[in-house]
Amino acid sequence: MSERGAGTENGTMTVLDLPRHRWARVDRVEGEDTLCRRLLEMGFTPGECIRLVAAAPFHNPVAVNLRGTVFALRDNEAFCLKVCLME
Amino acid sequence: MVLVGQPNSGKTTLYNALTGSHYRTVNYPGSTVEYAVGRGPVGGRAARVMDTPGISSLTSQSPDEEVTARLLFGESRHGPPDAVVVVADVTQLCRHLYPAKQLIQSGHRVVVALTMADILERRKKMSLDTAVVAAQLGCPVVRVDGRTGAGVEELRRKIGERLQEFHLKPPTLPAPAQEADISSVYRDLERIQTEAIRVTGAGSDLQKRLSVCMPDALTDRLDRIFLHPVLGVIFFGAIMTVIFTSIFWLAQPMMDAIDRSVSILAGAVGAILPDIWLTQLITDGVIMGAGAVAVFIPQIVILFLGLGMLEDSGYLSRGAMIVDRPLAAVGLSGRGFVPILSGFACAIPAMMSTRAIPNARERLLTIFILPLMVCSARLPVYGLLLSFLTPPDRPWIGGLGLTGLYLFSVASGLIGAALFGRFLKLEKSNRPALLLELPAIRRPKLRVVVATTYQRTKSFIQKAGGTILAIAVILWVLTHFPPRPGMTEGEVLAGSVGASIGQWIEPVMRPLGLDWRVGVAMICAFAAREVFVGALALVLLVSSAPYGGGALEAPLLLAMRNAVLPDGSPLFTLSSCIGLIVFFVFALQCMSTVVVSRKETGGWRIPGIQLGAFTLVAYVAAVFSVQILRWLGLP
Repeated sequence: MSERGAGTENGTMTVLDLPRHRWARVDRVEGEDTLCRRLLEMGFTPGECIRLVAAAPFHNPVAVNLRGTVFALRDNEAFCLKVCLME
Repeated sequence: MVLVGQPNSGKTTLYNALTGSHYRTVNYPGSTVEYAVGRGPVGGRAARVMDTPGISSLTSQSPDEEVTARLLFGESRHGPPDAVVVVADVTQLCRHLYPAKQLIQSGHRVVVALTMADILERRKKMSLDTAVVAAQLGCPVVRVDGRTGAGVEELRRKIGERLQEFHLKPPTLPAPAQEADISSVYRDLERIQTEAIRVTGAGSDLQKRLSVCMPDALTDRLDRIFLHPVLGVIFFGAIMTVIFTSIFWLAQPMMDAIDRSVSILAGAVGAILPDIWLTQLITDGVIMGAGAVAVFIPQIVILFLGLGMLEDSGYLSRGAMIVDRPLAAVGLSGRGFVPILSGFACAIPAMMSTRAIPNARERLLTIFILPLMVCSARLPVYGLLLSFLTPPDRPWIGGLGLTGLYLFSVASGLIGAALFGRFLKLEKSNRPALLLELPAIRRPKLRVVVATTYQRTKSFIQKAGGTILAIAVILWVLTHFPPRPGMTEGEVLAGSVGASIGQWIEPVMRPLGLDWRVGVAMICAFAAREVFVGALALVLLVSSAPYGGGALEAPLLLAMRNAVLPDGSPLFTLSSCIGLIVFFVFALQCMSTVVVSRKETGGWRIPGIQLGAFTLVAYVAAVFSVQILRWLGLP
């Protein structure tokens, strides 16, 4: 799980910046403690592959594909997920 | 033994299979909010089986998750469980085994039940090796299908074997996990997943991993429409419109049929029994009173069928995501969508389902506005008043009016939430989370939808039936005593006990353009709204005899047209009917809702405000609309 995706622009991208239907890896989870723990326990762990499935206007909420399911996240939750695009 | 697992993993389906119960299952995460206890044979003995609200980890976030945590660690009256069955959806193996891993570490005797293997094999074309999972986790693993019952016997046997093992120490609740622990648990689980799941036709490891990660192809394709920023909203609006307009239009022929048969029944019973007061009590009081409400059962059934289809398909979560933004603007959340939607059936289960909302503020606001939704008990009242107002040559007005009322109730709920939110002193600083799972989309199973509709309709009839019968009898006695032989029914009514009580409320009713008879029916409606129709039938002296089966119009509607005020002007006019509708839109006339609201909010404050504010607003708004309509020169 150590390899990082190509084109990592020093890992500042969040889920909100992702193009639709492109795979990305979770780089790190940053933000308020309880929210981060919740996201991690739900399976948003660093190294995991995720994909933006759909986004409502203003990217709030967004639908993110993770480990066989899809989650609806508000923008503040999605903002905690720092990602980098794969390939 | 306790069944635990992630939300929407199929615990309740398995629970029903283990205990032979018929709990309602819904394709929406968080549909079980309270634990249920049942009995079923396990390992040759009768065991207590408990179904729990879903958890994603042992760190609880919302009231329903706390229920599960307390049950698992012996803080409930049942003591700690002897065995824990972790129910895991194999299409999301890693995430769903996470609580299993935590429970094994905390010292529970765990058996894992893997569900949804059919979706994995048929839709995703993958296969699963349960032996690998069992070996890696170090606990028994069984593949089950709660809907067909496959694997349930094996699960019972495995739990029985597990119970023979010596229990080392009572399990303890671990401290909240740190990032490093969580990551390492997930790394273990990923290894299990890689070894256990075989993908046909995947080349590299990465390809395999991504195809496990994807939802099934059907869900993925449909989500491109359902969650599309524009198409999704249009689709959402279309679904809601179809459901709520069909309530009025589809039900009409069935309602007419029921109406006719009730009149025939009352006429037939009246003809058979001798002409004494008891016969009148049965025909006018019981049969017509109950019949007036029974007429509206088709509408309620259609509503429940529509909601049931949405629930079983998995669309509810998508709807919740679409409305999250607008709801967030008034301090609610997308998680409030499902409670609000089920509030259209009944506010009571709706209030209980708010337990899945993690944020206390959003939860209280949702509970606060739920009594404003057009519940099934209001349907009879609106149905009656709207069909009274609908001219026979323009039947579409009734359907349009009902759709309008549904929209209006949502609008007033949003305004109510925004206003009440200003006074609610609760932490607002950190932005609440949504984190809602969107489950796989399934074709609604007719059997499940019909069973749900049947259960809900039955409980509506049972709840309404008892109250209506009791009130029908009391009202009949009040309006027919003291008996005065030789007088007409109208004169008996005018001199009855009911009439003298009615004089008290007459001043309150006059600004509404109504008299004490409607007032009595409105007071009865405070027990339960649907009683209004039956009570009105009774006080307006709907006599079954003269109408029979051949009446052109339903007897109650005819009686409403003929009813006059003391000065001779008609009692039910456009303005007074609209006034009544406005009153029913706002008023909290349901004792059970008040009681549940107290229980769910943990005090009398919220239900007190609801009862006072909604009823006051209802009366003031009703008076205003009547007076304005009259001022405009309408009848």
